Amino acid sequence: MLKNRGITFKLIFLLLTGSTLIFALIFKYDYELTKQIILRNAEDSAEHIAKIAVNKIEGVLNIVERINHNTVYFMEGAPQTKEGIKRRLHQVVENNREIYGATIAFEPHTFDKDLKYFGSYYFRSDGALKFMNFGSEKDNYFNQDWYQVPIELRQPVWSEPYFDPDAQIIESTYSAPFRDNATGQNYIGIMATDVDLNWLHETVASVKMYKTGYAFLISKNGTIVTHPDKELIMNESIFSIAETRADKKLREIGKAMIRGEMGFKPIDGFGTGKKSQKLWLFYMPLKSEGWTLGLIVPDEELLSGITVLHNKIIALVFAGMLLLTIFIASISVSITRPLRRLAAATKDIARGNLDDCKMTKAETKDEIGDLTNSFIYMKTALREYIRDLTEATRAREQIESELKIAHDIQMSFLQKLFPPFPDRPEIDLFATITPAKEVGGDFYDFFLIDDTHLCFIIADVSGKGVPASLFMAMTMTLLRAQTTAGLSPDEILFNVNAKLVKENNVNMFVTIFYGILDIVTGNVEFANGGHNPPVLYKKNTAELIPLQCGGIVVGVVEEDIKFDKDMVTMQSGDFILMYTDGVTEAINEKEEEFGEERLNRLISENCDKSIESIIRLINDEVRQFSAGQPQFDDITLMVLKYEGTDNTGNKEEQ
Amino acid sequence: MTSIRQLLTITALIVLAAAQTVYGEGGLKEASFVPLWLPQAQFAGYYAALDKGIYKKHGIDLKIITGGPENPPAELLKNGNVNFASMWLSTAVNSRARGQKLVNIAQIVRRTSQMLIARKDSCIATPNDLNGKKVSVWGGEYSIQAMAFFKKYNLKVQLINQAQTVNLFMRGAVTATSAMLYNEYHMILNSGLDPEELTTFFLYDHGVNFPEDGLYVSEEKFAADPELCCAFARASIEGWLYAFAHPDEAVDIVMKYMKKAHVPSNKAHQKWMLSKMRDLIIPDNDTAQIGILRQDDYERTAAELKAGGLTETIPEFVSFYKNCVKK
Repeated sequence: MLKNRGITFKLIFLLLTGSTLIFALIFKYDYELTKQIILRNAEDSAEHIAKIAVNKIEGVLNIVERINHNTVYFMEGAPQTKEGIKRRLHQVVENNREIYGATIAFEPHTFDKDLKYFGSYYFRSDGALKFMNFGSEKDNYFNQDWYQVPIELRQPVWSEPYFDPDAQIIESTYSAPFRDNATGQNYIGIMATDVDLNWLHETVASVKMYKTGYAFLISKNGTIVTHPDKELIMNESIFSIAETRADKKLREIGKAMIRGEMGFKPIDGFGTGKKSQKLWLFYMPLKSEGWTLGLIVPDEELLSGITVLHNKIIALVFAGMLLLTIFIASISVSITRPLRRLAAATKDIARGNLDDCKMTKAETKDEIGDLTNSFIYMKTALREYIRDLTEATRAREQIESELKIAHDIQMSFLQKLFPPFPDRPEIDLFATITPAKEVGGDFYDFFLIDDTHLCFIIADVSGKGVPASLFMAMTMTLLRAQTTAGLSPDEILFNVNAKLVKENNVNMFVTIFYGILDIVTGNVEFANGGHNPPVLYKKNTAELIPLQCGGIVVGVVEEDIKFDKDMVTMQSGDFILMYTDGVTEAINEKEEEFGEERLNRLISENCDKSIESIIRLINDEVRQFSAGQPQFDDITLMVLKYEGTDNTGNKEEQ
Repeated sequence: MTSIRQLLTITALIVLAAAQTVYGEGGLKEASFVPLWLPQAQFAGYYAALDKGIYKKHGIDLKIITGGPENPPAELLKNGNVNFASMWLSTAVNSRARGQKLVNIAQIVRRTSQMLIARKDSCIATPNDLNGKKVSVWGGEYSIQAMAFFKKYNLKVQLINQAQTVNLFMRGAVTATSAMLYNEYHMILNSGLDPEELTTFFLYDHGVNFPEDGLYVSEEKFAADPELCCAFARASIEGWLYAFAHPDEAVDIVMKYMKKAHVPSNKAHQKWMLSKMRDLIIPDNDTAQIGILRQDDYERTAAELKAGGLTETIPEFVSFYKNCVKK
């Protein structure tokens, strides 16, 4: 489809496609690179923000841990009374507003061997401190997490956050086992500190990043402890969210989070809604608690800067492309305008309109300028050429017409009225000449020298055209002039030759058969100047005798060359057939010559027909033989038939 | 048009007929029921039946009391504070053996949900690997099946008393923990452990199988109004079938009651629970069997309890179980 479009379209199309492609690649590369940088920066700043929050949370929780440990030292340092423990717990809760409650509980029968349950608990309630004793079956604390997990593990533990239905708050308990102060070996109880996690909500909620980025906290089991969506808190875990959203990737991230890893990962939305939203999750562990702080930032906010930047770049590139299009268009128009002009001029020239078409000289010196100038030169040259050609044609036409006239004149030399001697029944004569395209050099002639002698000639001038024609006219005139009664054919040829040689500067020659028939006796004297020997048909024997006689072509060799002379006698019904080489040398499409043999056969087969019929037959045969081949030479045939003197009726009349 | 009108007519007739049975006995009968625990999908069938008016359809104006540690069903039933209660078969056998006159009117959960779970990375692959390890089990009759399992494989394990969380196990304080298929197992999965990371022993697969949740009523109440008792049993079963047919709706209903009772809830967990309850209530995929307590199941459970020293006598099956489903 492109190949049918103009140069301007092709240029714009190809250049724009190419540059768009290049730009798209660069843009994509730049986008990815910028995105990576932005993400790296975002990760750094998320880490920074998270670190501040984590430090703040851990700062508080570490105080709790330290107070708890101090109490453990207190318990392990010396034997404590019930009152001492109570006082200590009161202090712990009263002096630390982060602490909601504190418990010291003993293993069965360790504080007092009569008591299975012994525990003391101080906690805040309506702005005051309340005390509670764990002393009976209903207070069974042994398999509650805050007690059982650290006692089994023999190490301090932050409990999973839990909802305290009495206080209606979410708490977590830090509990540490303490040893028997006497032996220092067996763990005999737990010191537990409850922390109200309300402040945690505020701390985590205060963490912001970008416009809507927020933080949340999950416990060691992945349970959501704080989140802007209150519905999630303590109900969902990161794993139940992953399960609800059928998000395996989120589950893997959740596992990394509870393993205490740090990371920055893309996720497909968070919370209980099914809606997918591209988000980035940064997570950082709270080492001692085993909890993890998560920071969520929407992808679009993270990349809003780059999006704005890239939108601007796209707009600029679009404008650039527009400019480029205009630029290419103007360049290509400046190239194609002269081309179009040239094309129009060429059409004019093709129509032969050389003078009207206006070609201005090129203003530029580039290839197009060169082409324009070449065109102007070509036009001028063409005009001159055509003028020359016109003149040459006119000249040639004149020559051709003159040649035609020459030819007509030449033909008019020949006698064409048959029978030529209607009052001489002893002889019959018929001749035809079929000229080749150009003016040829064949001729025949016959005339009565005196009352009883008939001269008959057939000749062929070498070459063609006007020179041959003129030479023929000259030869014919000479032959007529030299033919006088009493001279034999060889003498006449000798004289003609002498005259021709003397005035022949062009080395032309002529073959001549010259015969004189004695009408009374039937004797024929003849000489042959290099011509095809005519054929004598003897009626009574049905023989064909070639009239051979020594002699070379006339007009070229020497002035004093001699010709032989011979004589045959014709009886009534005999005839002599004379021809030029245009007959025997006519060729067919296989390049075969017509030949004497074929001629002789034709003569033999048609000897009883009229001489006119014989000549027409031979002419027809030659024409058929060389059908389709151009005729190169004149075809001339002449037959002289001797009817004898017996039937001369009106000899006297002539 | 004709067919719709016919359908409407038939529906109206059915509604009328149903209404007649109810009102023919003088309106809805008031009754109360306490499930074994706080609202969760373990009781989805009852809450669904209540919300979808199935109890009303059976002529009962039911009130469901929130169960849980504060409201032990056996206690409430004993004190006459409630008409119906859901309890494990083992609890009920114990109670009856101790003289509490209660009867089973439908055995809902017919396959044990109990299992033991360990981490693969603590090198537990077969029951024998548990030998000498700390294993947490629940107290009382809830431990009997685990004990039977240990006995079967001749294991000596360190028993640790287990409460309601899986934190002992999650924090690594025990090697293996008891769990219910529909609850603790999923809690562990939702604390970040994958099934592939766990070795699980489903007690049923090891030949230990106590039917669990059943519906109970005092002998006295049953004698006084067996129609009401059986209507309750049948309505409950219908509620379960409704819940299994409409799991999302059933979970939403349950979660509504959980919110009301301030019980932490998440949909993923409740959906899991309901789907596992289906496996335990219709283990043979034959809904016609729901509610039927087979004598051999009963005898085996009672025998294990006796062997575990939890009961001295085995109550008579015929007096213990009243078949309201009649199959």
